[in-house]
Amino acid sequence: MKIADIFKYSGRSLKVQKGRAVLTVLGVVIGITAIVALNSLVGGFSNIITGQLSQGLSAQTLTVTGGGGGLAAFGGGGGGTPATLYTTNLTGPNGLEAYLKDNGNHVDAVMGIIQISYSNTPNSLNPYYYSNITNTTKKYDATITAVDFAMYGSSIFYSSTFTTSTTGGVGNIPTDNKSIVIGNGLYEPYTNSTSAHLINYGQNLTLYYNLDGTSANCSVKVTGVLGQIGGISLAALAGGPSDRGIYMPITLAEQIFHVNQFSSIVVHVNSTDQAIIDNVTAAIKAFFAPSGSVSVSSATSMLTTLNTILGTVSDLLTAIAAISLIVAGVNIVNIMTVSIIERTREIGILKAIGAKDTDILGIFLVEALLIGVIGSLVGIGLGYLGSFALGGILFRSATGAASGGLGGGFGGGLSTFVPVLSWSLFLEAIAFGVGTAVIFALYPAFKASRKPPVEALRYE
Amino acid sequence: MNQQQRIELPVTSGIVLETRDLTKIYMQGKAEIRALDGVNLKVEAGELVSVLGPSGSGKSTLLSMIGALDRQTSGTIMIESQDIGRMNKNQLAEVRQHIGFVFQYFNLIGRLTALQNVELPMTVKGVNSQVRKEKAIEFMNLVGLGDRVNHRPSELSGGQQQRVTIARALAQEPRFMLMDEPTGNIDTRTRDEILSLVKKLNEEHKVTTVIITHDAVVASITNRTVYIVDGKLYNTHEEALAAEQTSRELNDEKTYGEGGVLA
Repeated sequence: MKIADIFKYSGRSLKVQKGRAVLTVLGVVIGITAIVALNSLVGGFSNIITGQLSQGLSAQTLTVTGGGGGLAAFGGGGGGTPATLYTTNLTGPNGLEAYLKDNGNHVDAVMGIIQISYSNTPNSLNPYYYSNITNTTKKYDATITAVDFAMYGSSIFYSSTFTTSTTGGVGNIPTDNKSIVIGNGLYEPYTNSTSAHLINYGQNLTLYYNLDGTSANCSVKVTGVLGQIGGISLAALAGGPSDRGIYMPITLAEQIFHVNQFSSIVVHVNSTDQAIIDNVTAAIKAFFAPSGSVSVSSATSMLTTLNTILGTVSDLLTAIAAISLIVAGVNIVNIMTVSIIERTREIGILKAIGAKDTDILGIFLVEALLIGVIGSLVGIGLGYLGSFALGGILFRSATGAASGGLGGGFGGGLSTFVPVLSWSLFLEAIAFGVGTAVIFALYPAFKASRKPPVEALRYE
Repeated sequence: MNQQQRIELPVTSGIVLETRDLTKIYMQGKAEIRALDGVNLKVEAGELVSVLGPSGSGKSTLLSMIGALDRQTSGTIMIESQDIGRMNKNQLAEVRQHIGFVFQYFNLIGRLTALQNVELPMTVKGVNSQVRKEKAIEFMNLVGLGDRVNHRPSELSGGQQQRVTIARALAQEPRFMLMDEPTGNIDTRTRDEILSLVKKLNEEHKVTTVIITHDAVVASITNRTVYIVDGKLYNTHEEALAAEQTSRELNDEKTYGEGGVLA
């Protein structure tokens, strides 16, 4: 039989047994829908993370942390005793900046970042903390980031996000080393709002904290509100601006909290050449080597690690969804076996008029193939739509629940969540669906093809 | 142009079918059932032959053997001088592509239209769809169902279904037609119509036909009748009767013992 005729014949069989065909297809549809929905979801999520990571963190930006904290997981791990990044290590004739610039001139800028967390008690990771802000009834766990405003807002680092001149921004980035800037998410201009009061522009806020074992407080003025940034910024994790951050000049932080060490140091390499970046990384490690180990991570390494993690999650979800495909496969075996028993006489007739075993095998396998193709296509469509719905449910609640810095960031980014249906996912889904249908149909189809014609014709 | 004149059926000559000492033994548990016992049959091109026998005589087994549907235990089956006993499954399928089967229960595929059923043997052979459609229409016209091409089997009477089966058999361009009780499932009036059609196909189109039946009326339209009793073939009615008598006596003996009640 010609292939085209086999397709026509099998198509006709499915058309006649519509109810049964629909039920068989449904099994494949459910499996493929699950696979596509979950993978599109992870794909969309991955895109957001990648996009956010790319904001303010380029491959040229290296983040140095002491030992195992913060971003160490993303970087080439420290090992050994973690080094402390003393503020005195950075500048001056013996500082890191001078060391790196002397060491091949491949560095544009070196910037120290101090992060002061909201906490009630100190801990080893956050030796500096504040415990309350008074002018609101609401508590914040926003992190205070102390940086050199000029450097932080320069085009080398975060000029696009550390600014008051973008949408939603108010006031200016202060230059007086006495005032602070807040992220747009902390800003509440509507004083009559019934919702909890946030921080207002122009207001003084009082920070309560612990200084060398004694309770202390200080009042600082908010003179700038950053424009809206949106999204999670993993860049914010590395010290970049976010909607829920409080920003303070380093000198002010030193005065208030008596800080003498950086949480991280950001180094901007003036080349994208991986060999040069690797050299600078080695040089940074060498600089701190006498006092301990440091972790140096780049956006590229963070992206690679994150993509690996998301890839594993995606594989895991696919494996779970594939269980429903196995169920669909068993259903196909069942339905095809019944169908073949019912069509025994038809098989006999076909053989009597000269059909070969391969023709019969072809007819039943093509039926399975058509079930697989239809099931996969419908499943892909439903899965893609489903991923929007699933994304809406999952990430709307994430937005609602978000109150802290990181949570707020996530919520903001995920509200613009768009699932991803890539060509590779499309083709994989088709291959999964068709493969399941055809593989599970092999045995019943083979059995059908081997039926002796004389027995098949006598079947009642 | 007359539709019937356009039909081109293959014209064969010489011996189309021959069996030599054909034997088929089935095992029923440990018991050996000799369904065919040294059958010698020769059918020449253009013949209309009937194989007449009661039920259980081995008719269906003979049909399966000469129709290349099953394999013999011993002996030879030659179809157009080819020994089909030596053929593999695919070659047997190719042989069947040229045997026009007509079954008692029609064996049409219910979801296909009459025309599609007639096209089917040509579809199996890989004939171009346009060609096979044209030919199928011609065969439907030949059996007098030109106006029923788009009907499904369930929408046709028994006689009409059997005509479709005959059209399908013709579509195989058969070396011979093999009919198994072709009128066994239809009424008497329709039976006569079908038999006239079979006769006409043989006389006008030289279609070699073997009819296997238990019905003497059906056998009466054929040019030659052979008889099958207990798996053995006889060329005359007298020989068959004698064999039947002997068989009955043997059975009685088996049942009641030598010198039994009926002896």
